[in-house]
Amino acid sequence: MAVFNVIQHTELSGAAASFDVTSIPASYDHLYFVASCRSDDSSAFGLSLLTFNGTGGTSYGPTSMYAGTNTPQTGKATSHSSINYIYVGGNAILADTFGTVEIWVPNYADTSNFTQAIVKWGFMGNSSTDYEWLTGQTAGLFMNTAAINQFTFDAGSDDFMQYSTFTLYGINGAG
Amino acid sequence: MAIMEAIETVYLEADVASVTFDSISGYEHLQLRFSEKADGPNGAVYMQFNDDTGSNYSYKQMFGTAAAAQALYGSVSATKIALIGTTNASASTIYGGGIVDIWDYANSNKNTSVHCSYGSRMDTAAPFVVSGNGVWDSTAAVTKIKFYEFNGWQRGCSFTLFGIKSS
Repeated sequence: MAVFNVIQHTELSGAAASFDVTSIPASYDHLYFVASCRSDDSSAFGLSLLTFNGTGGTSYGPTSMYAGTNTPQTGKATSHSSINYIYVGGNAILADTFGTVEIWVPNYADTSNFTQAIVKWGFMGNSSTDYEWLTGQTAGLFMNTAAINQFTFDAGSDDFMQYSTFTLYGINGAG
Repeated sequence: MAIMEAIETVYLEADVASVTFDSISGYEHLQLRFSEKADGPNGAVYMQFNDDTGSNYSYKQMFGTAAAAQALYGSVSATKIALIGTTNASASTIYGGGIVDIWDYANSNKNTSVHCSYGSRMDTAAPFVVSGNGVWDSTAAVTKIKFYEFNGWQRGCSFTLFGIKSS
């Protein structure tokens, strides 16, 4: 059985509000997500949001460490409507520059425990001005024991721009 | 055909100045995983693409050390992407480890962006853990990656470049 399996890949031909994968089979061990994306937010960055199974409400607990100034910071949210603290470049940064996002969702189909997502994200333009670059890592808990069958990566109040790419992989372990 | 493949592994049997990967086509993304030791003190991991030595690179990294839990390292309009803190040659049994993500490296609609995660424990006084991003201000498809250190790499370093497909 192959270790890496492409569940869905998209390169945007125009602006889009989100990358949404539904009907994810429970047949893999883990989910792995890679994005190269840019927000059309008029500032230097856009806030991206991760949700599972179309669920919002108060189901998520994200915690993050990140830097966008000379002093790295931490942040968290409790009983939140999504896993936030995922920043990608906005339309004010260096032209043609897209942020990097990587998300690991271990044991996504487990129905005994809550689901954890680990996110690496960031972008770099050609500016040292505060928040015209950002880099960070975020852990987010989905406080629900349902198996994950829907993965939604959303541009929040903005859109992802043309040429953004998103790929969701299903990962198998041995045996 | 496998979605993720090891394109090439370079294991150093002798000290060298740099490691280059130049047969890298056919994938959506690249990921470099390495174990390294510099051939001198106070080093940094450097990256250049397509032999471009101009001032077309920018990078920022947050890092922690034993002395400071948080600090920052970076530059704009630099001649390379630098990743702070290679493991010092004087630490004879210690190699640092890292991962560099290079997403959409062949997409000619985008500059090439990278994410770096790195850690080393040179000795009890100077360990590093690093996370950061960089960009090469060029929309050219990446066809060559040079990975070097200004003191050079020591024997025993290993570098594996993986290719990740999207279909």
